[in-house]
Amino acid sequence: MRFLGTLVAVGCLLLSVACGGGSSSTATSTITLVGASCSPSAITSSQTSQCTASVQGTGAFSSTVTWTASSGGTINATSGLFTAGTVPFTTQVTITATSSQDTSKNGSTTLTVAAAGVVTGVTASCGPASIQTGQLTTCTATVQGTGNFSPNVDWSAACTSNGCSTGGTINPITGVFSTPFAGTYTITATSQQNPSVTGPATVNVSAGVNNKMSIVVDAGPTGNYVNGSFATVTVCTPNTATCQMIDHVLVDTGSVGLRLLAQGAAGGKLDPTAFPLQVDANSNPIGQCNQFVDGFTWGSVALATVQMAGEVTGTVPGSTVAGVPVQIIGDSRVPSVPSSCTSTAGDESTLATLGAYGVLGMGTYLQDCGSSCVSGTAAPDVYYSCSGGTCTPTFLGLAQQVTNPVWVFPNDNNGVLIQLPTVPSGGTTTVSGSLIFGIGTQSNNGLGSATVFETDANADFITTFNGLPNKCSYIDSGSNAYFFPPSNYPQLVPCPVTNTAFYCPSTLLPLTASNQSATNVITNPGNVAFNVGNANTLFSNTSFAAFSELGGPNTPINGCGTFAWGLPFFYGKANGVFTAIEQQPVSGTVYVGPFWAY
Amino acid sequence: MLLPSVLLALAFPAWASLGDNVTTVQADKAHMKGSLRSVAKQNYVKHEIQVPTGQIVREFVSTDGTVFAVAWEGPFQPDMQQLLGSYFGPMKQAVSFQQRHGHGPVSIETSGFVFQSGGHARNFHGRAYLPAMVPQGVDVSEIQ
Repeated sequence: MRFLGTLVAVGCLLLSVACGGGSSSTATSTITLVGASCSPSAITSSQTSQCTASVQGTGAFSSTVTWTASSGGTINATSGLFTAGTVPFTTQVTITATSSQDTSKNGSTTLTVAAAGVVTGVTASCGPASIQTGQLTTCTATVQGTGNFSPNVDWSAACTSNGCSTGGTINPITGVFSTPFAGTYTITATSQQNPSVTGPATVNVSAGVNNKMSIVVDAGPTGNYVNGSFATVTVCTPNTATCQMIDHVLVDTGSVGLRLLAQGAAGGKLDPTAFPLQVDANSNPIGQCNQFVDGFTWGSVALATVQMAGEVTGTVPGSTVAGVPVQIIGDSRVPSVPSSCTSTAGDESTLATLGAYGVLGMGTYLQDCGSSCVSGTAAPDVYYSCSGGTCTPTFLGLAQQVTNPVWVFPNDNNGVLIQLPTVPSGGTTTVSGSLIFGIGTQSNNGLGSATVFETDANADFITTFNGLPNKCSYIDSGSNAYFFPPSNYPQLVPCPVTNTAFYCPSTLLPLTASNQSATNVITNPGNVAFNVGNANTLFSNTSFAAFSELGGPNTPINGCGTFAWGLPFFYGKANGVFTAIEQQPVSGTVYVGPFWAY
Repeated sequence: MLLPSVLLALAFPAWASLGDNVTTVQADKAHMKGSLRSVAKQNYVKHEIQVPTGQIVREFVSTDGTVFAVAWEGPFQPDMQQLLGSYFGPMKQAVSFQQRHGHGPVSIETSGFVFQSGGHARNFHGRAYLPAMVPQGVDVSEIQ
């Protein structure tokens, strides 16, 4: 018996809860403390605050509470979410959490409900109130009201008259507005607290100046140019209406700066005397040996106002003199070409050697030389100080260097878009297209669906052909063919004797290369299909000047191979080809030059 | 084999033109005003000059002292007349002797002289060599 009794006692110890009977839980668990807090602790009408409770106790107590609020709004008894009502003045509301297990235990906190402010009005204004298409204006709003009203507004824009077809774009937070379409726009600031209260402002958007000019591909002034696109450029004596129009200036996105051939021995059309010479600190004229890859041009640096389409250059940033520095090739006001220039390459300072009345360089750089010509251990053979009949290399400040004229336009100054039609297989006599200034500044120069390819500091990107990457590649309207290393591809052999600059495959070669941003952010490489034909065969029709199938060899240097996408690349590109200038953003996009897009 | 792999400037005072004998052109020493670095390869020595204005020019000299190739890169064109010597004139003539007019990189390939000049303003590069004088066992792709 004794043995049995011990067994029962042990069993009851192990099962203490069950042994105690049905009411043991209330008998052994208690609530000791209930706390409450709400976040945020201060709100206004119609705002909410979430209240939470902390319940302490002994045993298997219940944490469940019931919520009540003294005034000023309603609280969900279960969830603790307080919603402020409308109060006539700022009110301290007591929020109480009561234990469901033991209703004698509760905890409270205080919540401040501010009197609802009233928005009585919104006024808005935009400065400047009149802009051109593509420019920016910043709109600001002032909200009037009583009590604790919200000063915040939302922004919207709508076209109200004069033919604009969209509302433009306005940043809903900053209120910065721009549009590519001319017209009258109503900008509306809407109170966030009371959307029925709004304030209007008017922005008048005038059409930008005409930013589009025609260009032509023809045989040029020498009658034998191949794949040269030419523009007519007007240059004026700064601050005067004395101007000269020069036709057949080569459109060149591979160089920077306007260069025009002087009348006289150089065979050009420009009268140099209308343009003041750029001078150094000693008032000595500046000469320039401009280096192209295939030769140099020698002449003066002079100041001109450049007009193209409706665009007129202003003053170069950082310069104190009017006009844009341009090169006047063959300007007899500077001495003859120094030997340090002639030793670099062949001379292209005449019409016969240049093949055009000038070169319109609109590449990705701001200046033709940049910082290398500003300072260093030795002045390069580019800019010269000329006195006493001789010229010696000199450093020259950025604002005095030959400058990208597009950058000096007041608007439409962040790059260019070139559009040229398709050229049929075998070539044609002439095609005409467009040179459009600005990128994303007017309705005719948006990036649209074009893919952007960023360049490196050398204005190069990567083109892979036949499996070999060429890391010093570029797009250049001033090169007149696809120039690329043969890269072991069959039949890519140079022509014999006269056309050695070009390939002469026995059959038309359909080829593919892929372009890649230098910064490697483009995940989708830009595959380009192109054809290369036999240059001797193509040139046999001497009246043809435009050829889409012209290719030629290029340097095969390892690590810096070059695929130069010359003018044939521009033919028939649906989006055209964009060339964006360094440091210049494209409004409404994340893109900043330098880049190409097509 | 007597040459260490890297020789410092004064070990090679001469700088010669394409096709010349490297030992005969003492007068050119100061012309480029650059710093010289020379590297011995299997069948030739590569002399590299860093020009103060940023260009790098290289000359390739065979074991008999003949400059059989030159190469260049940098923000400006090198003193091409100095580099090419007697080939400078014919090079210019070949560039201008084209049936049709245009601009772009230059490539001249004849049995006796190869000239390839590429790039654009601020980033020029190229090379020239004499195919008949390239030492046996040297691949022209080394000329750069």
